This record gives sequence, structure tokens and C-alpha cells, in this order.
Amino acid sequence: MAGMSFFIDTTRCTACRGCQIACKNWNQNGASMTKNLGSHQNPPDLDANTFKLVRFSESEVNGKPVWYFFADQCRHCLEPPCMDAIAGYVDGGVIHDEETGAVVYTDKSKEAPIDDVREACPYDIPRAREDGRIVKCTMCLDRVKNGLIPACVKVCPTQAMNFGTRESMLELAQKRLADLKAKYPKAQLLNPQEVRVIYLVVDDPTKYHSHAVASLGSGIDRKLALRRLFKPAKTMARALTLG
Amino acid sequence: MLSDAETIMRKAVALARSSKPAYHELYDFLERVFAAQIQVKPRCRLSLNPMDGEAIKARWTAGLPLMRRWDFPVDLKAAHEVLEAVTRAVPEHNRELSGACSAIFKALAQNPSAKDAIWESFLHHDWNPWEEWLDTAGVDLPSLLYVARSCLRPSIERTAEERLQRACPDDHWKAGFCPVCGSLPSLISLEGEGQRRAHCSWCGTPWRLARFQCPVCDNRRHASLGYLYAEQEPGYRIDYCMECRHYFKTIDARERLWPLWIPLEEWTTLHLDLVAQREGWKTPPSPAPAVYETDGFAVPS
Ligand code: SF4
Ligand code: SF4
Repeated sequence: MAGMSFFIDTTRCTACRGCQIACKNWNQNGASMTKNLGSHQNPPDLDANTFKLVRFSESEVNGKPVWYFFADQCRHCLEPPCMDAIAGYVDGGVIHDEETGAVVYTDKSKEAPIDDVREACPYDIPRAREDGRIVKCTMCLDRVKNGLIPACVKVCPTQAMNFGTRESMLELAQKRLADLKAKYPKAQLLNPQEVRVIYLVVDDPTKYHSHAVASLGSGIDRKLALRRLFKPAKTMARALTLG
Repeated sequence: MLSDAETIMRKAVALARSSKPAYHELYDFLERVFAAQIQVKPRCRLSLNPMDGEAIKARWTAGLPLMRRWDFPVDLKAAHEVLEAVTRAVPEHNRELSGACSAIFKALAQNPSAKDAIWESFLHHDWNPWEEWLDTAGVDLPSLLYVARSCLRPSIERTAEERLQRACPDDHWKAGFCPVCGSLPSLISLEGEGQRRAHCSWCGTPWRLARFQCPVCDNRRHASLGYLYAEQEPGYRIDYCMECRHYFKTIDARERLWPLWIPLEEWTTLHLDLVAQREGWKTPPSPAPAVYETDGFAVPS
């Protein structure tokens, strides 16, 4: 089944952070310890209480300063590498929901070391709670299964956040991209064939965030490929120890 | 190939099955009734009184509904087809519904020349003309009305859609009752940028309501309009009016992933009625097109 997807149109984002707060509110995530690093981005990074973070990046276009906003969250990869990483340590640590495509961690994820899981994620998303449980955006599966849109989408006042069937989101994304191409030749969709959270940006994605696209950063691709290779061996090793 | 309406309806029922298990006994029955209505509707053949565009516009502008309930034409074949489907769908142990179905079948079989009159009798609202043909002894009246009106619904909706299409209004309908038949809403939805839309309890017509407006007494003062809301059930609320003490159930469609299927929501929000009534709010006397009388329409005697 094609499942669901998000389309995040960064050109419409005004950085109101409504989505960030709505996410916290719906998931009953408490406050995070934060510090002022001289940026409006607050908290400075995703954490176990922040599944969604509006990232602020200052850049320069034609000699003028511009701000880029990037509402960062788990991309719900079509083939989630984090799932392989967790499965290497524990069964049932991740649910890949068939109907929607949501990738959701269970409490068993605490059996897997956060460093490995975080490294496996091409977008640097997973974080660990104090008790070891690994957490991240759940696609608001509890809402979606009840026919409601995710909390972050519901609250977005500018339609930067959109959610629906994968087909309808891809269509919306392509249409918006075509509309923006003339004015912004660098406009592009980020990894649309690999993820369920499709971002539209109008400049070099690294100017928005170091992990905006999977192919950037230091050797993530290679690391992923290696992990894929090693996964069967790891699983086998576990089976042997258990046997 | 399912029609769009049928896809939407089936999706809504499937979702309700998992998210509102309390109503599990209803779903098989309702799904089959809705499916029959949807399939029959495009085949309805209706002889609609001609009403020219000017006349429609004049009534619209004057705030008068376009038709009275008993002027809606009925496609007998369509009504009969739905009756058969409803009868097949009735759960085995439901004596009220099966009694209602057989009472109608019996009346139709015993009075073949009065078939039109029997069906049309159910278009009335404040007297019981069907008793002329129907043996109602031991028949549950609400079930009878529900079955009969379910059978008429495809004809009624088709007529309302046709009338509304020709009304082609440029300005909003301002009253709290339905622009087509004068009935009150069964449900209200919140859409888009927060527009409020009423859904007619009789002909299914949707129309815009003001953000602050009681459909019954037209009270528009925000200080005397309020709503009840349960945190466990996001997306639903009960709008009430402190002037006339009536309430309406409201669904926030902006939170919804899939389109609403209003006839299903009428059933799966029954617990909200209990909540509202426990708090002392009341449903308007329904059906209640009180507006006919002020309009100089002749009320049948
Ligand atoms: S889908 Fe839900 S959990 Fe994920 S970022 Fe949005 S609000 Fe948070
Ligand atoms: S973005 Fe990262 S955490 Fe989310 S599914 Fe993909 S690999 Fe897993």
C-alpha cells in the first residue's frame, strides 16, 4: 500500500514554531533544558522531548541576508535504516506500519544503543530518553489511525505542513515545485522517492540544515551500505547466542 | 468500480469501525443502507415541478426555502429498491427495524394503486397520513420513519441538488434553516479557514452559517453562545445557545484526514447527544420547518 506522506513547503514557513509546540503538546513531551546559542533556534537541537524542531539558518543571497527555516523531523523512510539498526539488537523494537508507512519505535528500543541507531539514520533524528528508550516523531499514528491529521499539520497556519495519501502529497509537491522553478531555479524536492516527509527548498539544501538531505554529510551513504551488509551477520550472531 | 461517494462512505465506515468500536453493531447495517442509497441515487427519475431561475432567485433572496418537504417528488422504484436493501441489512435480532420494513411491504402489497400516496405520506412531518394504509399496531414509530425516510433519501437528495444547482446563488444564505427545504441542520462542520457549514437533516443540503449564529433562534450574540468540548474526543464539540437552550453537534473537519460522511456521523455521535442533554440542552423539535407557516405556504389539512 502506498501509505501516507507529508509535504513540507519551506517557502511558506514563517517559523512561528506552532508545529514544534503542537508536537510537544500532543505527545505530552515536557520542556527541554536549553541554552541561548545566539540563534532563534530553540532548543538548539532535537532531543528526547523535541520530536520536531524548526531550524533557523542565516544565509546570503545576492549579497543580502536571508533566513531559511526548516521544520526538521523523522522522514519515515520507505526503507528505514534505523529499523535495521534496532533489529540488529532486539525484535519488535520498531513497528513499520503497513497501512500508513509510519516508522514507530516501541519501548523495546531501549535494548539498542542510541549511538548505533542515530548513526544509522541518514537524517540524524533518533534520540534516547534517560531510561534508554529511543524516541522520535511517530507520524502521530494515534491520531492518523483515528482519521485525524497529525498535530503539527493541524496547527500550521500557512499550509507549509501538509499531510495526506502519498499520491496526493507527491502531486502537490510536484505542482508547487513547478510553480516555484521559474523564480527559484535551485528549487528542489529532497529525496522524494526515499522518504515520506518531502521537503521543498529553493536553495542548496545544506544552507537549511546539515542533514536536510541524505546524500550529504560525511560518508553517511557508505555507512548505511555497510550497515546493510552487516545486518544479516548481526542478526545471525544474535540467533546463535540465543540458540 | 466504486463511485467517489461510495469510496468516501466505505472509508468512513472502516475508520469508524476501528476508532468507535462502541457502535460496532451498527456498522454492517449502515454500510449496506448507505451503499444502496448511493447506488440508487443516480438512477432516480424525478418529475420536478418546473421552477424558473428567477423564481428560485427571488425566494433565495427573500430568505424563503425553495420547497416544502411534501413537494419533493419520489421515484417509487428507487424507494422500493432501498427498502429491499434495508430489509436484507437488518440485523437478525432487531425486531423494531424488521417490523417497520414488513409493515411498509405489507401496505404496498395490499394497496397497489396507492403506492405513490404511501411513499409520499412519509414526506409529511407533523401528522401521520401513512396510517391510512399502514397497520401501525405494534410497530415502532421511530424505526418506521427511519426506514421510510432512508428509502426516500436518494430522491430527496437528488431533488435538492438539482434545485440548488439552479439557484446558483451569488450571495450566502443567511438563515439557520435549510435553503432548499427549510429544515434545521443535523450536524455542523467547521472547514477551511474556520467557516461553519450546516448539513440539512432532511435533504442533506450543506449551507454556510455565521460563526456566531444559533440555527434555531438566530441569536448572534457571542456572549450567549457557547460550546462543550471533550479532550478525549478532539474534533467534536457541542454548540449551544443560552437564549433558546438548543444545541447542535459540530465536527471540526479541519482535523480530518478523510472527507466526512455526514449520515454516518449522525449515528456515531449519539453519545454527544447524551452529554448535551445531560447538561440540560435540548434538540429542536424535529422535523421543524416552522418557516413554512410564516411563508404563507398552505399547510395541508
Ligand atoms: S507527526 Fe506528530 S509526532 Fe511527528 S512531528 Fe508532527 S506532531 Fe510531532
Ligand atoms: S528519518 Fe531516521 S529515524 Fe526516521 S525512519 Fe528514517 S532512518 Fe528512521
